[in-house]
Amino acid sequence: MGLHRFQPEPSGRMGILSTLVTIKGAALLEFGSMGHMRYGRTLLQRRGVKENCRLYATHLDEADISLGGTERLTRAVEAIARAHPGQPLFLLPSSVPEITGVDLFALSKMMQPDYPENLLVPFGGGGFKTSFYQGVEETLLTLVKVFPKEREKTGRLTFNLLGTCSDQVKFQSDAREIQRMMAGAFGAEPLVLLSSETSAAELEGLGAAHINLVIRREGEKAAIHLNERFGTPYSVGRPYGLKASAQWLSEVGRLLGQEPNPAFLTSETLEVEEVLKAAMPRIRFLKKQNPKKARLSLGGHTDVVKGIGQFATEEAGLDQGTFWCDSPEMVEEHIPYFSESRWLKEAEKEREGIVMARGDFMEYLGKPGELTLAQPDAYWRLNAYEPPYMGFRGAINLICLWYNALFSG
Amino acid sequence: MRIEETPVKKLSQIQSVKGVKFLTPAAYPGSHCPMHTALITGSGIKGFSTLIVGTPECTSYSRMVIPKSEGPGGELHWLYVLDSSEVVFGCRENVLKALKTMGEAGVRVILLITTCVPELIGEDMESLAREAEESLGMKVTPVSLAHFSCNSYPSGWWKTLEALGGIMEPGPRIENLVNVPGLEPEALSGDSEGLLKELQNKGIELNFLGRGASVEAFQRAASASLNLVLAPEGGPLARKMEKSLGIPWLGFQDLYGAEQIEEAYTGLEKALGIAVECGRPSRKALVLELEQRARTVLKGKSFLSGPMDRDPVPLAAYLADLGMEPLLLHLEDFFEEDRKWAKALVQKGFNPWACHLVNMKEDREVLKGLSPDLYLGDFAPPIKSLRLTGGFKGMAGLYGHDRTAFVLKALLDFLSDTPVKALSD
Repeated sequence: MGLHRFQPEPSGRMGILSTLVTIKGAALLEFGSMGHMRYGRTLLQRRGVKENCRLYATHLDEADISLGGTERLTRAVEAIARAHPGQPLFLLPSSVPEITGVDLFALSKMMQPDYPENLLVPFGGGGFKTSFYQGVEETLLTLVKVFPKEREKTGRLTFNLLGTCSDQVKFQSDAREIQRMMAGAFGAEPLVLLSSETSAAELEGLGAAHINLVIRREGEKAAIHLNERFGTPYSVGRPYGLKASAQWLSEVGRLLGQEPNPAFLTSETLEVEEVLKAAMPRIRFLKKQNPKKARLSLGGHTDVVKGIGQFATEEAGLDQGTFWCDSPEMVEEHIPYFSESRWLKEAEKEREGIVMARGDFMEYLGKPGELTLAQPDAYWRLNAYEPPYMGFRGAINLICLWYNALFSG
Repeated sequence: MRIEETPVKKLSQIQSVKGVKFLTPAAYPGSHCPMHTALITGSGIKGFSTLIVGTPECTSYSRMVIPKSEGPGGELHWLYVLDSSEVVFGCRENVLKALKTMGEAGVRVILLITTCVPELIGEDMESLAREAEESLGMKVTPVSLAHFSCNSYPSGWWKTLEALGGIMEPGPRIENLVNVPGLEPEALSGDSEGLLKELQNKGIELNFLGRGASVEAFQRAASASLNLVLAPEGGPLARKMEKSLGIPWLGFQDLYGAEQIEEAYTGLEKALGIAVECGRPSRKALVLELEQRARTVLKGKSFLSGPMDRDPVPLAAYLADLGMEPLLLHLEDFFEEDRKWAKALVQKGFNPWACHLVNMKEDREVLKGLSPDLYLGDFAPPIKSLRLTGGFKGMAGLYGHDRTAFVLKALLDFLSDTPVKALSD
């Protein structure tokens, strides 16, 4: 039953919007009631997401619905194309037209000849069967299918990051850490960060990168497509913690035919080990004294839960509490999907330990917002320069956060 | 683009807010939907729980208005999300189950909000509410808030208040009890006209029916002798209570002219059997003096009325009486009383365009083409060829002679500081 106390799982449309909003040099039009976009924009603002792609809505009235009218859409496209010369226009589906059977793809095809300067890019995923993460996946795949032009590989060593989408907490910081690691290990530069920092014009050059780094599973189909079209190799992995970060660099190096810079690896490893050395003894002592406290429970995107969980239990000395994911299609061994009702049942067991999950659940449990792992966030995350969760610096940050959660206050 | 090329209609053609068209088609940032204001109102009434039925979008976004699932007095603010089969086959049984669950958790009075999708699929929430009341013993106030039935958020305010009329049952009349629908209890401290303070001093018990009130206050409202409407959001509830409970109402919300305001005061005195002073003679004298100056300064000045914190139609009719020419009005909503003022304007020979402005960048080009002398409101960034008076901040919450004086003074001050000739762009 659809009764919720907390925010429900977001829709495919919200996934599409989250992924497109950061793209500069483009506009987006939702064929639907204005209210969605009005709120959607505010929600994104609170997450520190800049509206690089200008977000418009047509609104709808009863006559549009009963007569199947699409004039609001065609008139809005005309106005936006005029206001954004040469820019692509993303067409976002919405719940009401999905029910009345409006076919955005057909309409887009019909309108395109009138706008030779503006690429119209329709999206599906507005229906009730599309999950948020399916929306993200559809969007990444559509972008890499529609935009790239034939390009020579760059002279310098470059990479694309596939999956830096705005829904993940710390998406900017994590992207920055990956870039830092690639620079330090390979002297490689980013070409396209899909989709946190890119533009419609930049997307045309996706094929010129030497490697694609898929950092969430929704980006894999996009990487496969780019591999088929441009022969670009790709890695799939979301590195958390010391071991996984070093392994990830090693795998990337194998695909590039280049060893990661050993001096960089050494210095990064030493830094993380210093912090672990400082924290571990007291964590080990706590485990003996009060084992319930030294447990880590994680709830969020499966790739995130898996990665952080592995680091916490294999390197940072914490015991596994309850792990769960927020999407039924991403269930894995030891990472079941919890609906709200299931989570509320399991939550009580883990009150004494460390919890990293969605912000409203954290608030409900009285846990600190600094450890938020997933949406919805209870904080306004306006600081794009917070320390990351991913990579070497993320490992340091996580150890500190866990340590303080256990021992301060 | 010229305004004649847009779908916008003239005021004489407007029967309801559904006739109010966008000046330009691509909304940026767009207006909030009425769910927003219904949630603000509902969550502000003690003892009133809420259940919103809709898509993941509506229910997720509602948490930006009501962040917690439980209110300070134990009220529950929960969400019902439709799935793909309910969109086809309906959600009645499951929503009833949801209400039952909330009842078991202690809910007695609840606002049931239907958004676009349940409205679209034709769920009969009225009958569902009646069934819930019979089988669960809860008071369920359904309110239908599809954004496609309107352009903006005001109906969330007044529909919620109007729906609360449904929890009122006839009771013994309390002679000195006067309801003030649409206003919060805080309105008393901000009452510059002084009517509310004076009524209270003269032994009238004021029952504010808005955010900050309680379910009990709404139920008690059924015993009042009068509804005093000072803001347009209270009008629909007052009308409903007149029909269902025979409680008369008196409104100041759409009055600007001194004589009309005086008439309303006289009516109030008669209804309550007490004298109401409020410094009326001196307030009226001030207004008449300002009007005299205004008739000279404002004569023949054309204006556009942009988004502002008050109902534009009665104000436009008043300014037309002073010799101004309304060319275009931005309407957030269209209230019942707007009909008579629209008619009055048209009879005087004025028929302004009636539109909804949704995109300042695009709208400005069309508005410039109307070449008005004044634009009542703000524009960001400012348009050189439109004299922007500003948004009349501080006007919300005013009524009576006080409000008229405020408007006149604001216009006179504005025009005396700046020469009145249109600058070229």
